[in-house]
Amino acid sequence: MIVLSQIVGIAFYEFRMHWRRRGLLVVTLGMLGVTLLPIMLVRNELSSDSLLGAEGVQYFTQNVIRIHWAAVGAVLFAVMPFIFADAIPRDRQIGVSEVLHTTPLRPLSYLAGKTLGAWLGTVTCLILTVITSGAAWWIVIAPFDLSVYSAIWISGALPMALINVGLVVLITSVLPNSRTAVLGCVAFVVLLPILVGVEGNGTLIELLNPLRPGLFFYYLQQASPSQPQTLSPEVTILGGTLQLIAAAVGAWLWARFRDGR
Amino acid sequence: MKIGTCVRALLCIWALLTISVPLTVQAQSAQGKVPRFEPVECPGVLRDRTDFTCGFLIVPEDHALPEGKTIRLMVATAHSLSPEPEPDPVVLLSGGPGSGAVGSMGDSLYERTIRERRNLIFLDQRGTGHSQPSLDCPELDNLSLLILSQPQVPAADLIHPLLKACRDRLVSAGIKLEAYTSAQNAADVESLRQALGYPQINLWGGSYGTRLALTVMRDFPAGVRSAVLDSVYPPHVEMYRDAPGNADHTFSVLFDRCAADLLCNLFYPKLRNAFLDVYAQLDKQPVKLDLTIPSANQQIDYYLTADGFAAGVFQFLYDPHAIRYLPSLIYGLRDGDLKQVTAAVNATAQISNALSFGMFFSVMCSEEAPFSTLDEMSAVAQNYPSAMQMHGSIFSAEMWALCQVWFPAGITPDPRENEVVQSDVPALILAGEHDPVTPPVWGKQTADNLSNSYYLEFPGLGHGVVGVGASCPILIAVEFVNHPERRPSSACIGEMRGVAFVVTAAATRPYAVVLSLALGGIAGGAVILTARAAWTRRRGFAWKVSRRLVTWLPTVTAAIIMGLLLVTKTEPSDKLRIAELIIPAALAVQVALAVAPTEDRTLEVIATCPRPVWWLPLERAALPAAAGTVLALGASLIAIMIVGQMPVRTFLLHLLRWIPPTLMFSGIALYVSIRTRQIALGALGTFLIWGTAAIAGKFLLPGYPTFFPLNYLQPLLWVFHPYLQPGELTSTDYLLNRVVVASVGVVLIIWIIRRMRNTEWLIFGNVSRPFQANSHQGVG
Repeated sequence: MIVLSQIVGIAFYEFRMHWRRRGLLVVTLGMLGVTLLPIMLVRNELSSDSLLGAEGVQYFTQNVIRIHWAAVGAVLFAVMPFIFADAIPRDRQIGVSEVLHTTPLRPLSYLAGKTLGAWLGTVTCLILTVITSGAAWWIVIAPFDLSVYSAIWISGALPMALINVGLVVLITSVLPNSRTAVLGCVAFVVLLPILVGVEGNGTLIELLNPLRPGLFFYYLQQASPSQPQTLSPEVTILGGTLQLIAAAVGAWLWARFRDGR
Repeated sequence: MKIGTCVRALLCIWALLTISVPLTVQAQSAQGKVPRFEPVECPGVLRDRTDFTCGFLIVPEDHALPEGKTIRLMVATAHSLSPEPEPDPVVLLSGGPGSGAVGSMGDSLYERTIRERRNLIFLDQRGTGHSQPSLDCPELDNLSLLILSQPQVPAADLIHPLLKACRDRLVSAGIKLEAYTSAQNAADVESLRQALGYPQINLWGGSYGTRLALTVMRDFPAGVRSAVLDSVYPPHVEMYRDAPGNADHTFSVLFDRCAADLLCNLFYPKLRNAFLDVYAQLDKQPVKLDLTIPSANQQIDYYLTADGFAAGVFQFLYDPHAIRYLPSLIYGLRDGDLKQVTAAVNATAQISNALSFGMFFSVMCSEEAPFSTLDEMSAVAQNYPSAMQMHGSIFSAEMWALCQVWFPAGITPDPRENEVVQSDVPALILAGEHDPVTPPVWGKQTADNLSNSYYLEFPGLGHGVVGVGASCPILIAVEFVNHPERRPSSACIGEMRGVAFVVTAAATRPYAVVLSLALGGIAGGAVILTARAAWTRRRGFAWKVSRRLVTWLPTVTAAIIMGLLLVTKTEPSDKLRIAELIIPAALAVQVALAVAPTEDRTLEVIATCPRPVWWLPLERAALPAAAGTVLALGASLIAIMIVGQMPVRTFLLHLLRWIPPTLMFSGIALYVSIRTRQIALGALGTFLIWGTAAIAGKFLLPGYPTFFPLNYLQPLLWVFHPYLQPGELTSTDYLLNRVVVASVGVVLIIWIIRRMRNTEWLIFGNVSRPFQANSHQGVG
């Protein structure tokens, strides 16, 4: 129970810190921007009403998927990790870690709390975006298939966000300060996709790509069939989860032996 | 070269009467009952479509002689998406006269929307498209090129023999040209209904298709459930005689809309006067345009006359996308800028016309030309300014002569083809406010004679309102087809904003000059002062420490990416853009990480040193900048060598392509990093702006379709476009843009560096103020 309360406490502390530092605000506004801007761009071409019926719903749903998901996926892949990259290095840099060393807090609880806090911020951002942009699409453009819309957020955006944010928090936990953490994030977001292939190739190596091709192209494929061959979404999520576990074990070992805790 | 003749020819063939395929299959003798339908495989792109079925409708060539020769009309049915479609399909009647429907079908929004509840039938009218026989005239295919490439020969001398050759070939093939009329065409539509067994059909006509629909409503009203008439061309009007009045009206609408538009009125005031000035200038002295005809690999000196200019403006008014450019085009010509008009004429010369000219001349020469005389037309034309007269007088005269070629023995017109059509069939009449060839007034007149009709006019649209991408007319029309007994909701018309006129860079150049001088002056002065200060105290720089503190990951990443792209990118233009895209992003990320007030624990110590604190970002950014420069120059040289362009000019151009955006993004990165005290936000913000500029920068270009209210800012934003390409604007405008982009970066750097002189703020951030206040209170 004490461990649980420690984890929850750190998670809320982390969430509040991101809110105070405006990181969450920036990424939420960014998400809203990339999802609402297309509405402004295409509303004259797509504006409609219920006259279009089932055919219209299918047409607009495809557009929602194509425009909406591409933008959201890009943000989750390229923007979100930056906000949470220095969650732990910053503590180390400003001396919070030194204080924590004097408490009975275990490294695992600390890592779990930090990761959960980042996830809490991520989920908050996603919920705000999914409601606002979905309502905007519905009102400004046209009704669309809610089940597909929900699916791309719940089984597409959410896993991608949780995996990428969790990995960045855990991997950068070994770095000494914010600057190196941001650099690590640059390597994660820019260098890694180049090294393992930008689009994915249907082999296991694509699991290392933070774009998560198996998720990203799966939903794009429903609107435009000419997409690269990728792993299935299930394998992508499973692979990402395994990477998360591996990163957590690595970070825990690092904290335990390197920091001597 | 006599441009008037060119203009006449172009007008005759394409422009004024574009109220918009294998030849001579011998007409067949009657073989069984007519009309009848024979299924066949769909032609062309429809062949693999499972949602289409096709066939030939066999009808008499002359419906007055049902036992005579027969012709075969191609029919394609797009099946409804509904499992239980309504019993009355929509029959699409295309314009021209002479346009085929089957070949021009697509998956447009209006087609899909119609198919939601009904089958949609595309009929290639007699003589057009895949119907047999075709009245196409391949002899006239390259007419525009012919006219342009032989300026010494009067256009009429070129057209007449070609048209006569076409006519003679069709007649010798046994085709009865007199049978290709609207009345016969309408009988075909009725035959189609009977052959396919529909109790009633809905007609959906555009341009000449509306005249055909009205003819069907007149001759066979029982078979018509409803009619959508888009851009009405009714039988009772005199197209040639009314042309000057129509031109005068539609030009006035254009001038009025520009005057009512904030930006258009600001940058292109008194457009009517400008138009008349240009017309008068060209009337005195035609201007030479250097045309390039890629398909013919020809360079042509083309002289634009006053009539050619007016005809071009008239032609632009067909298309709502082209209307947007008219004010800038008129002003450009007035100011001697021929680039835009040259591009427009060049584009016109490339148009390949799919019109079946045989059908066109058969209809127009039997139903339009006979009902006017040259004297009447000239008399009417005198009532309008000379800039408007050319449409009537020249066109009419030319058309009259062409009709004598087509029907040398003359023709006895059917008087019904000049009478008002009256009907109680429910009809929806749509009109575009800028339509120059079938003006809204014709729609109103038609509506007055149809007892169950609704007339709607759409702002900002030209000739043909349902096929230009605007959803409002489509939704209204489909609602009407679904419920012709009631007035369709037209609320969406109120949301249409009319034409968003394009304000070109040339019009806003004075603003760009002032901005570039102001920002360039500030930036240049700051650079000189900084360089002077740095040089005099150059020993104070700590290069070695900075080299250790700078992280080289972005530079290494940039080098890897550029290397990969140089190897993998195949398009030369892509290779030339590599340095331009990668280096600014890499350097900006490094600059974002260069100084972070919360990162440098020794900042308090540094602040006490005699050397300026703002040397910190300079020395930390200078090293990666030097490395980035070497990288960019290397990549540029390699790309230039691979592409094989002229080295010196291309190389200098390269510097202009990547240095200004690098400065701009670096300025943003440094500013955000230090101002927010969060390097993550600095890197992220820069990354986002860079990505947005690279992907969506075209939205900053004048004329690129955008949304309200950005369209009001767009004319002023092109100067800030970091990735403006050299060919997108004139070289002067490009240079102004480069100066502004670079200066913005330098000014941002200077701005934040000046802020750094406040060492208390630098060390404590915004917390310092309340902290100080509390301290004072405590002491007090």
